[in-house]
Amino acid sequence: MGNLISPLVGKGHGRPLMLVGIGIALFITLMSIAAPFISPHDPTLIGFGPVDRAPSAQFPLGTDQYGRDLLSRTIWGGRFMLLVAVTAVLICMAVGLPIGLVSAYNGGNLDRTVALVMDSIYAFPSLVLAIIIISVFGVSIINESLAIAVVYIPTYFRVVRSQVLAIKEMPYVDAAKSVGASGPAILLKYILPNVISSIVVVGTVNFADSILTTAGLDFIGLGLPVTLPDWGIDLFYGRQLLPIGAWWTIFFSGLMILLAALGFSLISEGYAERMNPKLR
Amino acid sequence: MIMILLSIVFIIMRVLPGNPVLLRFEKNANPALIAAFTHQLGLDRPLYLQYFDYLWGLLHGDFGTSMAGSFEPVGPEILSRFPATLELTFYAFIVAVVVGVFLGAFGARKGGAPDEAVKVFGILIYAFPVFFLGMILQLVFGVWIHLLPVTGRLGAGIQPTGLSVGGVQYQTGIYTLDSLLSGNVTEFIDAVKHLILPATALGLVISGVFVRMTRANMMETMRSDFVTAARARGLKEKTVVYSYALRNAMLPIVTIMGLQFAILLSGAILTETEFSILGLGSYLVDRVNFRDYTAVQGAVVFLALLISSISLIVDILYAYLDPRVRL
Amino acid sequence: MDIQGLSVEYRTGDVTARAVQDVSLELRKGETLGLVGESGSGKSTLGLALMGLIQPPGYITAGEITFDGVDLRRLGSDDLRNLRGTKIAMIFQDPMTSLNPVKKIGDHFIEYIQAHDAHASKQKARAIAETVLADLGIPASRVDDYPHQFSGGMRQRVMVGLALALNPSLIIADEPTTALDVIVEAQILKLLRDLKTKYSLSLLLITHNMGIVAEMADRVAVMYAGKIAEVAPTTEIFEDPKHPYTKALLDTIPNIQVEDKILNTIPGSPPSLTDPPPGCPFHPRCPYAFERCRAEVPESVVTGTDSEAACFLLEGVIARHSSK
Repeated sequence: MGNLISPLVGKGHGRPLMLVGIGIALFITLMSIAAPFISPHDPTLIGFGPVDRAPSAQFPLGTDQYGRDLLSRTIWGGRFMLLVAVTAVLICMAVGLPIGLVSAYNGGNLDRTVALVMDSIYAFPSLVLAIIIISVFGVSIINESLAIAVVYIPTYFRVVRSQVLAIKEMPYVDAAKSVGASGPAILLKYILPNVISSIVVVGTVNFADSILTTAGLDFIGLGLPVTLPDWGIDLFYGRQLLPIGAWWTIFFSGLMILLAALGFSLISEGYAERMNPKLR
Repeated sequence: MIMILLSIVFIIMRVLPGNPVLLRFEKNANPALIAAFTHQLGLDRPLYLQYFDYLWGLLHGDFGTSMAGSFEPVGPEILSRFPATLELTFYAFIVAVVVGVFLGAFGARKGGAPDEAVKVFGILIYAFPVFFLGMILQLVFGVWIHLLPVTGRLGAGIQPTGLSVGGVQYQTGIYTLDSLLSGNVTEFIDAVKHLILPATALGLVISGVFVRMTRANMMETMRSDFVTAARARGLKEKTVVYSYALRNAMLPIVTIMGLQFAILLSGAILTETEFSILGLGSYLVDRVNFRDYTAVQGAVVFLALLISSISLIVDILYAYLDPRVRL
Repeated sequence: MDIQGLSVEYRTGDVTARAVQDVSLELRKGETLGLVGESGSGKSTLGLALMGLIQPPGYITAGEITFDGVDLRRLGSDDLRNLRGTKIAMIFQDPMTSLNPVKKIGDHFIEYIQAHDAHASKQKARAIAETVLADLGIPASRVDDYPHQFSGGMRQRVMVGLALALNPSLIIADEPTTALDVIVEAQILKLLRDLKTKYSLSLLLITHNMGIVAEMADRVAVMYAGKIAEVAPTTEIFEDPKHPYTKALLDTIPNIQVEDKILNTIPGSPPSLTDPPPGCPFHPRCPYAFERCRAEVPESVVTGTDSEAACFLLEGVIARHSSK
């Protein structure tokens, strides 16, 4: 556990990156959680304000073609994305981690088969896979989370597996076995702690990727039910106003998606850099 | 591995939903219509036969028939849309590699503040939703400054031409190529102009990966013995950096090119939609929105085959580049 | 070559490691000078510094390196580059990683030759490569092979060949045989000896192996923690070492004729280069250390016609010698 906390303190290279990332991520998370309290207006109210108005004192971020206040929509817009991302990451960890650990540790033909299947999925473009899953099963938070999770599980699997395979051969594991330690015990005591830091790195990247994929799905029209405030949906609609130069309809939502993805990516990079001296 | 991919697609699209026709029609459940469709599409046959048909059909280039109502084979449509995607991904790839490798190498060599900037750029640009970047580019270069076209592949009134052989025009569908082959300069320039924004948007986002990998690999390679040995022989620094360091640093990057292509395709779907380019990506989106599941399946299968082929080509390319692998 | 007061530092983050401290050494024409020391003594850094190959985060902070009358530190980078290979050449430790894996052996030579002589044609360069390799016992047909197709010993020969291809007068060999097995090592050492005689070379042989030094060197310089501990002709170093470190080092060599129950070691470990102890760097491990050693850094004192050592004990020795 010390492994998780130690990168946060102490000088070194990746720290500024990581802290900026944490800052951004925290900002967005808090904003999304506090949305009902800090949003000035109801983001779904159609015709609340004048249509297609540029940012002004009354509507700091402008209004969209339905007269909805964009500031409110921007504050509210992250909730579903974050929810989907959290769910997806949790599912990935819950599935990918055990499969990776057990399969790699036991080895043999089963491991090779599982690895082959995982590699095949891994090679597939994530968005395409998400698209076909969503198109077949329909749109809902759980479905989106599942689609993204399926796409990402192979990554967890691979990372965990490579670590396990490396550690499995280490002398101290043999030493533990020679004094009678059982398989699961070895997994838990020796392998898991080493794997955790990799998981953090993959998890945060996964999170960022999930946000981008969700936004992508929204943009295609496979997103969440369209009446709800969501950054991706804003881009989907705002696009229609581009030819007249109505930049505000897409800019702020797009910026928020970027920031959300950026925040978690920075955490991932910063953390990885702290743990890996070679990159300094 | 291709087999696994194809099987996965089959499972998701045929097996899991049960009867895709039901999904298509959902509310308008006219049983007779559904039965007719199901029969016409061969979906009432036993699953294992369907699987066999599916694979057999693929061997013959049959990608299934559309559910949109006309029961047309999906294959020809896919093939007609594919070149646009190929063209877009090709140019985007070039942008990604050129930007990525040069920035990465630059950062690795300079160190210090420029290096940090390069690193942050790599992370930042990859976190950019590609369609958002596309929109910004469209706004700036298309709407505010009327410099470049923002949608489509060719301007109105310009016809795609092809290589004329004995009075017959052969077109690949790749406008930049065709226009060069037919010598039509206007078309070429127009096609290029239409490609600049989408290829830049997609290419820049993908370059993020190349920037980071090149940078990391270069930093390690620059410290290796053979680089120092090369310097010790008095070779020019430029030679040492490019012929020794970069050349070796690039090798691991080539191995992930196949993967990058998959990511490139995902991005292409979004880019095509954003820029209204009629490629395979927008075809996929289109068919999904129309719930034309067999067409979606056909398109996805095509993509899977494409990715496998590219992976194979990349493997061969790698063997050419790294002599250690050849023997 | 004459080295005066050379110092090299490595700066990473907030710590500075002083790898080479105020080293003065003379390399004489036609001789083989053995430079010995443990890992971390700074000997490799010294070798790199002589060729101007210290890269950030390493920096040469002081000193002069005079070669053939020219101060190498004052040379511009182009002039320095021209020097490398043509006047001074270097052989590296690990033949496995010293060659470019994606370049043919022949291309290594051709590129190298053409870098120093823009007029050299490819054929001419290739011919030179083949001649050099033949000299080393490598058939000309292998010129088009890649490094991974050669064994370690052959690769090291290639390195030697590359070093000699443009007829330098000084060769710096940094642990040339450490990565090789003893049989190959013997071959390479013989090769170096033969070539040295044939081409009248000067050789700076950097190693931690006293055996190699005994076999190859005319004079020996002993380094410890970035400083020169002792310099003397080889026979003198082995028969009558003056510096406590040299003595301890020689004691650690197991004698095949005597049945020792326990191998001798030098207690303690080398000092940290970032935070060295005050005074003589060896004093924490020196059996003869006294008060002065802990406070002052000993300067090199002359101990014989052609030798010197940096130890306070020797001031008495000089008194003894001079009284003879």
